[in-house]
Amino acid sequence: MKKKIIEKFSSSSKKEMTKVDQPPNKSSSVLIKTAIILPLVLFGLWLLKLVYLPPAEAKKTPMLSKPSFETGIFHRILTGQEAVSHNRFHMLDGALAQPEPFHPLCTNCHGTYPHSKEKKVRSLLNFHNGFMACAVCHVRKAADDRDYSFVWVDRQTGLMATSVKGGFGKYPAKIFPIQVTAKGQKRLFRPVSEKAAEEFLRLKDKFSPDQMAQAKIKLHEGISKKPVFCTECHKKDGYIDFAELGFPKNRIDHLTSTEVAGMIGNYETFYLPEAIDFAAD
Amino acid sequence: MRPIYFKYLTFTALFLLLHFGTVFADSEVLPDTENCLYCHRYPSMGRYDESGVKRIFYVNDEKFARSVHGKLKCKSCHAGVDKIPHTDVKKVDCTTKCHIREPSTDKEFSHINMVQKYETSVHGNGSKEKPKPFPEDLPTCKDCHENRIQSSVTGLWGKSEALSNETLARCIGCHTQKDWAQNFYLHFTHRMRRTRSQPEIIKLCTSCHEDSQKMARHGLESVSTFKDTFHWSLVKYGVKNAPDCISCHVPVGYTTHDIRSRTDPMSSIHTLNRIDTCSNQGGMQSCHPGATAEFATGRVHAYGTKAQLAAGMKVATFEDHENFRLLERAEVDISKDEIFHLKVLSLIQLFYKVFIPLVIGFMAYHQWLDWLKIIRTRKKRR
Repeated sequence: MKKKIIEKFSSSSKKEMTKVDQPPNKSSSVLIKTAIILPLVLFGLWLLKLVYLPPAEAKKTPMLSKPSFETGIFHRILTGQEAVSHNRFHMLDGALAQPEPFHPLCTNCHGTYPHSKEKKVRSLLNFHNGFMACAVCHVRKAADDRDYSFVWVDRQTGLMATSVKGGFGKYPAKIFPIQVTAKGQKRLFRPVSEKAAEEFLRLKDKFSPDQMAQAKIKLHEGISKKPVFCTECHKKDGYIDFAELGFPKNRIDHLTSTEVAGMIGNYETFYLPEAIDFAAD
Repeated sequence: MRPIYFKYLTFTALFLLLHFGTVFADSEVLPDTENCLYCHRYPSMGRYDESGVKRIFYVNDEKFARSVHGKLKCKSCHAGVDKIPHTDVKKVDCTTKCHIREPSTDKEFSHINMVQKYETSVHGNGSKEKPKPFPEDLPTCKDCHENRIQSSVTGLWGKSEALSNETLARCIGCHTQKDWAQNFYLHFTHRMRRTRSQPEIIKLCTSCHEDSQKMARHGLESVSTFKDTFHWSLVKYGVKNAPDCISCHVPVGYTTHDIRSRTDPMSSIHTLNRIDTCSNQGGMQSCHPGATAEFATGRVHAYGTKAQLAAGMKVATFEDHENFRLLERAEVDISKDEIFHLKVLSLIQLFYKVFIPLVIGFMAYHQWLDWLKIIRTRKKRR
């Protein structure tokens, strides 16, 4: 019995021995060797770089005179450095840092501050961009076009609302133009189709200069030539019905007061060049 | 007292404390007599300027009212803003008298004292007779300062609100004008602590000093020489009270507006002042209280380009103008002892440059031979 057990054990161990001694197949052996050697080689290379090519000051060759064009500026813009001038004095708050998943399509290309041409009013127009979609002023086809009404659209969810909490540009939603269908359904009106804009963005790097010019005209063909002027809203019974948007009476009185309209009137009289027609009739 | 009543009482007390205890958080927003907030309270007020920088013209009125400049009118600093659009805006000049009376002298206040000191410091524009080159590189007030919110000290005797309430109650006994007393107290206690942490200070200083091109234009090395030091390691790993730039360059008795070159006897890092600087006697933290002359003369920043030029390890050529400026400075800044130290360090460095690859190379060779031996032994067994 004892002998049998010993024989059985020795035969099984022999089998195991033969299994172990069998050479592994070629591909797996190469793989194992690579797995062992590659980290060593990489470590060696890293060490060589560390020892012989340190990021030392002496290796750099700074320039004495200031370059006329700062190289790397576009890369810095891309990486977000200096997006806001670093020597900003007044403290900011969270109002500017809020993400806005449901934003007007135009800002994808035109940015937060789309108005830049008319120096006299560009900042004033830009502050409206914080609570109004571009389409509010830029969708109208003609001066007497009254096809649109306006609603609040939540920045996060895209849901429509007839009133929101907040004040002085700090709202959780933005005003968008809508059209009411024959069945009474409210439909968000976009002067530029979302699909068309996506297609443009997808193909824009492939366009030749001529094709790009054509595409831009096509893309903006729904945009009104003469945008709504300030005094068309900031007056009694103006282009936007502030009451419909849930503004309280005192705020409506203020928005449509002679104070606002008067200030804008002064702009027209004293500052805006005559050559520019803001559709003020 | 039954626990349920105790719970209600605690809740009520907490509510009252939160509601009335925040004396300074609820400080009144100044009436906007100039109507600037009519437009500037809108967050999207701004534009991209001609150089492509995003300019935000938004001012949060509540934050401004609680800031160190919160008692000032906009026009106190932004002179020339007399019409809309603002076409004649003058650059803010911190030496302007801002219509606030300085209580110790009862004279109209301005930052002119600080600015005058600053102009003669390493960061200033220099004198009229000897202006510094590339003045656009030099930092202006706004590069380092922002309009911080005034906040009183914390962590001394419990919550700052409670501390403020108790202290202020004692002040108001004599100084009956509550607004004045509150403002004075806030100003004083705001200055009792550092407003920036060590990493923030280093980030601020390196925003210029890490730019090697900008530094070379002024005959300086970039601050990468600091990032090879034990001091930097402490900051990097978040050690409490780790030394930052201010700790050595502006210790007790010095001001950030009057930082001087190391060759200037008025500088905290001049050889004559080093012992005091390292020990920082009289400061909140005595870093090296037993600092000796030998210790204090030791180098803090690692050797950089200047030392290499002075030691002749890097040769300045005529095409290499910037290194001539560094060489000029090196002759003043780098002593003979330091040149000797650098040479010794370089030899040690060279030794390790040879020794480390040899050791690792030998190890790799040894492993390779060992591996060959194993293969041969296996083949023989077969």
